[in-house]
Formats: sequence, structure tokens, C-alpha cells
Amino acid sequence: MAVDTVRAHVVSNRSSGRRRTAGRVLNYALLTGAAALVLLPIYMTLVFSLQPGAEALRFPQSLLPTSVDLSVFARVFEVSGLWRYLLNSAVVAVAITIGQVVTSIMAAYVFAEIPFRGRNLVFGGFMATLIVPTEVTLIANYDTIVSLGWLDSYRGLTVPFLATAFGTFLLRQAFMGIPRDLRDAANLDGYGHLGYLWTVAIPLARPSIAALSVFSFLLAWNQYLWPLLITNSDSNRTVQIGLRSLASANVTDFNLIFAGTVIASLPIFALLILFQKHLIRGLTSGAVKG
Amino acid sequence: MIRHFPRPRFVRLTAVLAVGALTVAACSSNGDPSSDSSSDSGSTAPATSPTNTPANTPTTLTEVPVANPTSDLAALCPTTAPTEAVTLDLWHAMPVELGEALTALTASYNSSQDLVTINPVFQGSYDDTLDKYLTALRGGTRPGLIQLEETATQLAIDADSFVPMQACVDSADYSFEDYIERTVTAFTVSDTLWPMPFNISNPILYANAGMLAAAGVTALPTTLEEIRTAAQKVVETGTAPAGITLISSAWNIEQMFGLADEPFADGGNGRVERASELLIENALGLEIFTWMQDMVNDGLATFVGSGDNNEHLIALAVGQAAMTVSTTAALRSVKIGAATFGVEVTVGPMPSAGPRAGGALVGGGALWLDNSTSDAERAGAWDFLTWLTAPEQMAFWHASTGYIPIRRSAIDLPEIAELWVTEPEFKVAYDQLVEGRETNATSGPVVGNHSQVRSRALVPAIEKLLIEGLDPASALAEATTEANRIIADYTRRLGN
Repeated sequence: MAVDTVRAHVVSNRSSGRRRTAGRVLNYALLTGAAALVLLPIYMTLVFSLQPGAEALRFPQSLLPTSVDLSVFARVFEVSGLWRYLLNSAVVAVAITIGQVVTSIMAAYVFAEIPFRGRNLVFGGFMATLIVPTEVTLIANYDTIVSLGWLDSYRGLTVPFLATAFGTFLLRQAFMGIPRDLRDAANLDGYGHLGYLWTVAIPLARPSIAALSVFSFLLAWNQYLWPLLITNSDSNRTVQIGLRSLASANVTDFNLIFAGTVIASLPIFALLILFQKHLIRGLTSGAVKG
Repeated sequence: MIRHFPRPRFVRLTAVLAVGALTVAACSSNGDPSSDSSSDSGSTAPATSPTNTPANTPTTLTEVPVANPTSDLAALCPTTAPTEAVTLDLWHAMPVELGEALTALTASYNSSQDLVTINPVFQGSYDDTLDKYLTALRGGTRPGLIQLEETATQLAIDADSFVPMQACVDSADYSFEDYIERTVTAFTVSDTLWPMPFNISNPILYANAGMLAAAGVTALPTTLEEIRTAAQKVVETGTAPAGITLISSAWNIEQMFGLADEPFADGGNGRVERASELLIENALGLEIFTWMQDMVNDGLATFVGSGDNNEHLIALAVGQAAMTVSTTAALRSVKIGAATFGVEVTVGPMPSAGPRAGGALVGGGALWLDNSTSDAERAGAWDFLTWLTAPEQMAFWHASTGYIPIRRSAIDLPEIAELWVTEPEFKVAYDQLVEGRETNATSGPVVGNHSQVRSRALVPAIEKLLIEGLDPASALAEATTEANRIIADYTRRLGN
């Protein structure tokens, strides 16, 4: 918007204005096409969940539900104890998100602002953990959880994921991007590390923190292998395992898994919509204040 | 593709990786004497294995294990009627309607008596369930009972964490007289019955009756040659785009070896001695591979990949092909799908490469008894297992799922008798199973890391054969080399 306004002032003759309109139409057409491509699978999941299961096999597939059968949403809860799974996923994902954000902020601040001997080496070690795939640490983590007696518990589901090298890296970059002058000004005002972190660094890094929160929540919510490994009772299982039990071979039940997927993705969508505001507000306020 | 599940590829991949990694762990952390015993005999039976059969020499005919109340094993499983209350977790891999049927059975058992409570816990796919169990061997919570696929047999024996069912059989002086022998022998290795057979299936031919009639095919094909002829008619008359859909199923290949009464692996299909290599580089293997490739090249068959998401059954339901081969366990689902689409589906026995000298293999799953259980729990588990495989329960299980009833007397019960009159398709798999001869070849291969032999050796070879056009002989050779490497690797990791 801002750029457009500036350009409108500078360029005022009509032909270039028309060219600009044409460019904008092309832009929107391309963006609409790309958005449709990204949204189509999500949209079809919704369509498949609304219509009777066997309709998913109709060829050619209609883009609108041929008939609407909402009873499947009730059946999803009948077949698997999805309420409990959703609750468990929510508790686990929120705990992991809060944990990751807090630990990342603290670690990132140290790496960005507090010089100490061997800092780069320690940070390099942090980054190195990023190249180790989850599968490699799976067994070691399992052994730890077993010896702590944390199998089949919220602790076992959350504690191994409370710290993240990626989040630390992301926030360190954000903190380092804050102008040195602000740091000095805060110092003059008598702020220590915590004061500066709380009143200056965190508010300015809000877009990054919002991005990290969404990302952490998404990963925690979508976990499958780990919760499957360490939980045994329905009272501790998460939603992705519940979804697995909905994968029916009956064509008439094909809509079960789609309905389950829709239900399981609702929190993710809610979160994105909620945080979208934050992300944009954070970005624009940063741009104006400089 | 059509029926999608979040990240299936990732899940499958990690499952494979985990099995690979965990196999070592599971096997090396259990260095008990019983795994040592396999080093000198080359077999997998524990040192305490009973010698029930008079002739211990390798024979072609496999026999149902006989109870031997005085065997050393019997002490492992006291089967007196349960006296104290116990609760056993049952880990299983039965989704949705199969899971509902299983839960109905356990609930019925739980309310039929006061002492034993069976708690079914769904653990994902067969691979997920096995992975989870192998991980749990590292000190985690283990179930009392676990349902494993037939490919897990060797791995489960080597894990050294199960009470062989033979122990309970001996102690209870149990008779398998009424069981279909083959379902019992399939899980018997070196004269020891390991798990209790439960959900038993085999592959059958599914066909679109309307299409075959329209193409002028009067009788259901029973051999590969007849399938080719029927497919030609279907394609030539333009009835369907393809005569048959093929999937990269190693199970189907194993089945054709069973039908021809040829062993799939050495060591008497791994039942007399530990198997070290596959025996598929021969005339039969070549015939099957050549047939598959020719069918696809001549436009008579469509290759639809793994079939993991029922692509082949969907193709049948929507009229893209006139025939396919799939497990009997899908029968109920296929019938529902066919009714939905107004297609008349007919089923026949699994087609064979040549004459049916042997029989269809026993596929499906069985229930294993974990050895972390107490005596009371073992007694409870045995009580449950004998109840579960009783004719009444087998009749219910068969009618609600399509899995084969493993008791002979079950078929006289009204539930099955009536079902077979109204829906005779359900009888095909049963007939095919009882018709088979009892040999090591028809009992099916028992191979270490069988699931990887399938997924990493046979499936890739079939894909190369049908997608890249690799010649049948080379594809067979590649499959054999890779499979033998996997088996050798597995055996080496066991440390003997």
C-alpha cells in the first residue's frame, strides 16, 4: 500500500496508470491461481467429509458436495474417543509451545547479547543438533523416558520437546536485528538484562515469536510416532493416533477419515487466523516506528 | 491417493527405519540361552523345545502340534482355570469396523466371567504395532497379548520375549482337532506353536461379473493363463480399460509359490531350519514375473502400485478394470462398495501359475503371549484365547469381517450357514484354505525380517519389472540378491 501510494504520486500520467492496473490484474490472477492450488486439497478434504463416503470415488469428481451427510461427524466421535484425544493434543501442544517460546527467548538472548568465552562454539553445537533427524534420537529419548518412569503421561509427551535449536536460532537473529542504540538507551534508563529483554527485545521480536509459536504448535499438534510409542491408554493419546484408527477400508466409511481430518485441523486454522493479526500488526508497527 | 491419511509415506518410512534399527536392539539386548541354542542347531526352537513328533528329520508334510503334558514347556503356562482377577492389554492393528468387531468380542468375553479383563488397545498398522512392541522391550510397558502379522513370526521368535503357545497347549493338554490344521501349522516352527492363530485370510480373485459377462467370459479364470485370456476379451470388447489391476504385492507371489507347492525359502521354508535364502530364481518365479510384465506391456493389466490404499479395489469398484486379486479380509468392504456403485462383484479362488499342487498360504495375524506376564495372567490369556477361537466367536468374527473361521465346526453354526447361503462369496476363502495340502511349502515362508524382505527386495523388483521394464530374469535376480542380503544381515545381527 505504502509503496503504491508513493508511486502514484511520482507517476501521474494515464498510460502508465493503465499499465499498472494491467500489472495488478496479472498479479492477482497469478496469486489467485497459486492460492487455489494450495487450497484445493484442503477444500476437497472438506467436500469429502460432507458427502457420503463412496462419493469420493466418483469419477470425474464434482467440486461441490453431491449430497450432504453430516452424521459422519457424530460417527467420528463414536468410533474413536476423539474428544479426549483433542483435549490431550491441546494440552500437549500448548505446553510444548509455551516451553519452546520461553526456553528459546532465554537461550537466544544469551547468544545474542551476552558475550562469553566459547559462545560461538556452544552456539555451533546448538545448531549442529538441527541436522540430527528425530528418528536417531527416538530410541535414546525413549530410554530416558522409561528410566524416568514417564511412559504414558503428559510429562513424557511434552518434556522432550521443551527446547528447540531452531527457535533459539530464529529468535537470536531477531534479537541481533534490534538496533544497538535501543540497547544503549535502555542501559541509560537503568534497565538490566531482564528489563531490556522484557520491555524492548521481546516486543520488537514479536513477529518472530509469533511465527515460532505457530510453528511449535503445528509440529506438536501433528506428532505421530512419539505419542504412539510412549502412550498406551486412550486417556493419554493424541489426536493424530485417533485419526489413524479412522482409516477404514469400507468405501462407505471413507468420509470418516476426512471428517476426522477436518476436526483435527480446526484448531490449527483457528490458531493461524488468530496469530495472523499478530504477525501483521507486529510487522507494520515495526515498519512505521523504524 | 483418493483415501488419504496425513503423512502416510513418512509414517511408512519411519516404520521401516525403526524396524531396521530396533531389530538389532531387540535381538541383541536379549542374549538369553535360548537364542544361543539356535546357533548349534540352526533352528530357532528354544533349548526346552519338546520333541513331540517321532521323526525329527525334515519332512515335507507339516503336522499340527500335539499336546505333550509332560513337556518342559508346560511349566511355563499353568492353564488351570483362572483364580485371581487379572487385566491384560491386547495390542492390535484392527482399524474401524475390524476394531469394532474385535472390541465387541472382548467386551462379550469380559462380561462372560469375572476374573479376566481383556483391554484392547489399537496401535496403528501392523508395522506400527510391531515397532512399538520392539521399542517397549527396552523397558517400556509391554502388553499381555499382541496381534502380529504372519511376517513377524521369525522376528517375534528371535525377540525371545514370548511364551510359546505350545507351553499352554502342553499344559492344558489341548487338542486342535476342530481347528483347520493349516492355520495352526502356519504358526508352528520346529514343532512348536508360537502364537494363537486369530484373524486368518488369504487372497482371492475379485471380478466384476457384469463386465466379464459382457466380454463373453463364462467361467471365472483360475490360472494366470486363463486370466490373460479373459483380460484379452475384456480389452478387445472395450468393456473396461484394463482386464485386471496388478499391485506390487509380495504376498501374492508367495501365495503362488504355495499354490504350486514350491517352497519360497530354504530350510523347508524356514520351518525346519533357519532360512538363509529365497528360492524364487526358478522356472516358477520366471513364469510369474514374465506373465506380469507381459500383461502390462500388452495393455491387458494396469499396475497401480502398492495397493496400500486399496487402489486396485477402487479401480474394480469404479469400472476401470474387470478383475483384481486381494485379501479376503477386504470382502465385506468390497461388497459394500460394489453395492454402493451398483456393481456386481463375484469372487473366485486365488489364481495359480500352473496346476494347483499345493494350497493357498495362511495369511493374516495371530495373538502372541508376552513372557512378562505372571502365571495368573498366562492362565487368563489362555482362557481368553480358547474362548476367542471357539466356534461361536469365530462365526461372529467371520460374518462381521470376512476373516476365515478357523474352526471346522464353526461353519455348521447358523450364523455362517445362513451367511454362506445369502452371500456365498464368503465361502471361497474357507474352501481354498481347507483344500490345500499340508506341506512346508503351503505353510508359507518363515524368514527373519520378512517384512523387509517384502518391502525392500520384492516390491522394488516388481516395480522395476512393471514400471521400468527391467527383464524378468534380472528383476528376479535383483530381488533374490537383495532379499538374501537382508536375511544374512538379520541373522548376523542376531549374533549367530
